[in-house]
Amino acid sequence: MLLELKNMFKWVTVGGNRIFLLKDINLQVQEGEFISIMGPSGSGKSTLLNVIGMLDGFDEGEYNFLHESVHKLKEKQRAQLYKQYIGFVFQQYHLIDELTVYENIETPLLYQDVKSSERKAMVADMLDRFNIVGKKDLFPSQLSGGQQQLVGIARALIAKPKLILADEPTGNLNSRQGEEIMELFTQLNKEGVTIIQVTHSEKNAAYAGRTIHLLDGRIEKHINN
Amino acid sequence: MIRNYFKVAWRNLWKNKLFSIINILGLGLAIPFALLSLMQVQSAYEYDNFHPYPDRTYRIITDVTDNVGGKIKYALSPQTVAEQLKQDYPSIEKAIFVVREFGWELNNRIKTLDVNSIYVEPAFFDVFGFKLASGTAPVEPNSLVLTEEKALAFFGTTEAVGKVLTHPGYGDFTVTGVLKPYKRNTHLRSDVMVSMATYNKFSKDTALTSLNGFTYVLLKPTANKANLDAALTAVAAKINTKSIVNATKENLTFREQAITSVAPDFDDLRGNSYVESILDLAVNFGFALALLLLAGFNYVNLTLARSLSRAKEVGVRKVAGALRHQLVGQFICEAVLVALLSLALGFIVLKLMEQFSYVNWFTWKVDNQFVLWGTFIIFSIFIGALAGAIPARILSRFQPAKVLKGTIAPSTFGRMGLRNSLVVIQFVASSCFIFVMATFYNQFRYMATDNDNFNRKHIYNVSVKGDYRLLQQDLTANKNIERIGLVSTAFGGTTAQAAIKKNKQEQNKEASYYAANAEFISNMQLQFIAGNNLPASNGDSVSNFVVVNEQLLTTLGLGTPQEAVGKTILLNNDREVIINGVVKNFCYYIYQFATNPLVLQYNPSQFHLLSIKTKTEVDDAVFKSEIAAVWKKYHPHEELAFSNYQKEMYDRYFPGRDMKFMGMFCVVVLIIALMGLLGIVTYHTEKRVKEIGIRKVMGASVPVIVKELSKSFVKLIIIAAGIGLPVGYAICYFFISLFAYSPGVNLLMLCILFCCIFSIALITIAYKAIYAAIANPVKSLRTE
Repeated sequence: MLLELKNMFKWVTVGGNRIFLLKDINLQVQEGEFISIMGPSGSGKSTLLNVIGMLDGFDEGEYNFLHESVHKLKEKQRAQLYKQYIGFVFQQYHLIDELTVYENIETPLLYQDVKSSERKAMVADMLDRFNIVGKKDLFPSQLSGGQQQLVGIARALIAKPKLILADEPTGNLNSRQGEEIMELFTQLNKEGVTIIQVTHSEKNAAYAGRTIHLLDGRIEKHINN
Repeated sequence: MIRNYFKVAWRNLWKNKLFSIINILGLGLAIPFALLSLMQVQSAYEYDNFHPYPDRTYRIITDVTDNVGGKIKYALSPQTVAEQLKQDYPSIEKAIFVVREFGWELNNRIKTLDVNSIYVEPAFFDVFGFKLASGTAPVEPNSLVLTEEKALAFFGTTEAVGKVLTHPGYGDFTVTGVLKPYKRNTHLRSDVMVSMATYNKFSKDTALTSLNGFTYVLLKPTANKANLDAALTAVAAKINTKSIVNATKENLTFREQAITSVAPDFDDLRGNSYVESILDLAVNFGFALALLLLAGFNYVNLTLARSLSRAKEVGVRKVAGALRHQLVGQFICEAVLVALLSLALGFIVLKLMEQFSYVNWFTWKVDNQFVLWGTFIIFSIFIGALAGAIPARILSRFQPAKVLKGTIAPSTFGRMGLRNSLVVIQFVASSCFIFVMATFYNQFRYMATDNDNFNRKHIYNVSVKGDYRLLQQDLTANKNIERIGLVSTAFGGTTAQAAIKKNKQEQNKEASYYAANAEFISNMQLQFIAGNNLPASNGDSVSNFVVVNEQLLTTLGLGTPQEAVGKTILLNNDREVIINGVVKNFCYYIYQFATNPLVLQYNPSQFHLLSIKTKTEVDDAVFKSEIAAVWKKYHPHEELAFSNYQKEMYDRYFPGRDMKFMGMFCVVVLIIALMGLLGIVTYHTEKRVKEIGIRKVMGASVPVIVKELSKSFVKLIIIAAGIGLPVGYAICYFFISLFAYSPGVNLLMLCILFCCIFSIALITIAYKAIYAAIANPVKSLRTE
């Protein structure tokens, strides 16, 4: 098992009232799974994804990741954990504007103290694989949305994570670019990377092995595709 | 990693050119002042490092213990120490005595210059690294050597050996040599070095324990410090026993100080002229640091004001696995890069400052460039790290989940009130500073160009010796000349003194005395309030009529000016003179001092100057050549000493270099204040981008929004005005009251200056506000 959420709650207090963002979430994810999270706006999809990605905390419950109890870890250890095992892909790509394609992809490696020669090889591999060798010296603003998202995914994959978390990865793309990204995810999944994506589109959700429907912070239903 | 940091930092700077320029400019303008004080510190450690025997030359300093046990440390020592050391102790090769005397001025009949003087023995030139370019060391009484600079100033040439300079008290001095230029950083700095024989001739202070000067010893190569210590103890014992006999209760102990460690002064020694104490250096440095702190504060403010644009990057980097300390490192690198660029700019500014405002009370050169640059760079890195630390801590705190969701506001530090008051303080300080500078400028301009006290316009001074009558007669033929006055010395320099009293029974009072003729008084256009000018005379005898000023009447109690005319006073104890006219008080000496009683008397034996008034404006060079032609007839072997009075006074009173330097300081302080304002305005507009968007969608026009945005800052500036104007006026009033003669504080000028500062500030605010107001609301309201 890759990760497990048990009876997880997350809330904010507004004017003395608790508003639940996540309510009693129980979820097990096996290695090699491809999961879609769906639900209307405000149902807690992104919050759930951030909690799984350890970018956000929670108020009650348990979170185990590869047999580590995340809720007991310190900030620094948590950062160590996620930078080793988790890659993020965002709807707005979130590339660093001041860095070139090459440098953007390289960034996670810098923070993992990978040696320069090794970094070079790894980034070159990745550029090769995504067919963007010719674009390596361009800045994000010089790329199309689809290309930027490719770079985003390449950056997420560079450190060889076990888990990719994607928050509406196709939300800003046209349908053809979207399809390409989803094909890519399917391909990665086949190679053994676990993927959890948040999506609004039934069609994209269907690429996954199972779909979790959220409503008002609770899991409404699991559907196996 | 570091390389990556700098790469990103560089691209960030490049991308936000305006902010980078503002930041680099702000720091870059403040840094030169810090560099300058760093140089002062370094040069203080490089004092007196050019002498031939640095390891064997010592200065003897004295601790004086009085009978109650209080101890005072002096840099000075009694004259006898050197004599005894020289005679009685074989380990000492040479012992010399040097006396510094302040307040010297020398003249060559035309020009009077203040000079900085020391008395030296001939052996002085063996012990210290001062070399003569020509001539010999001064030995005889009334002989001296002078620096090339002063030789040029007095004679226009460095070939000054054999020429004569006159001291008002000690008489004529023969120049026996000219010094080679020497390094300024020596505590023995002086313009003239006078023979010790002169000192011994005129000095009246022969008490055994008087601390009159400095003692230096040169040890024999074989001797060591212990020998010197023993000798000093023995000398002290001898002097102390003698002084007990003489009933002085002080006890002297002597210590030696290696010549290389004379500066900086950690001991706070008394009489240690031209050695900067460590405290002075610290104060000096403190000012520069305060300025730098203000600039650093602006860096923090501006960086944080723009924190939104960096937030995403922080988020993404954190998601990519960056730890907080790595981000802190990155932001600090960025600040350090800014600081290093500022250093480059600052160094250029420093060079320009040196070029365009050579202020000679600063040291602009040091010996060891390596140490200099080392300190500069380390200092810049330190400043950068300091200025970067606060924004780095705050920026690296961003939570990626929040940032990437886009739900944060620009971050800040401290309370709003604190930052607002800092902006007000910056503006009050800079406007006060500018006011004071402007007032001083006004005063100096007044002193340099004033014609109200006495007339300088169309006046040319020609210095004469001996018989001037033929020259005077010949010159009257020149058609340009309206009138030729005769006087002992020109107004505006030092004055001769005379003793005056009402009658024999009274005490003498001091008065300034000028030998002058009636034409001179007309030339100077003095205002008579009673009586008449001196009677016209060409005779050889001293006249019994004098013209005096009002102050003299007050001092002697002679009643109103009308009553005083015709009364007699006793001049210099022996001569009764009749007051022929009374002039209004005017400043004929130094503007700081209140007027002394003044006596003007026809006294042909003391006339040394022709005061020539021309009819109209004449060309200096042409007029000079005309005069020179006549001069040559009577003085074929002597150069004509000729000056344009107006120009001479301007040069004397207008401290152009200092004014420029202070002016630059003003501009820097103002720019820093404006940047502080810009930072705070930027912060506010960025924070209100969404609000502005909503207002625009609701139909608000650009001017309405600009007004809305500017309101609170204009309030700040008005508060600054409310404090700055009265405080500034008070400070100016205080400074100007140090001058007995002044045009006063020009309130109108202060108001105009403040309006300028005010409108520059307004433009700054408006620039930002308009920029925010014309932005497309669709952009600011879109949330993804």
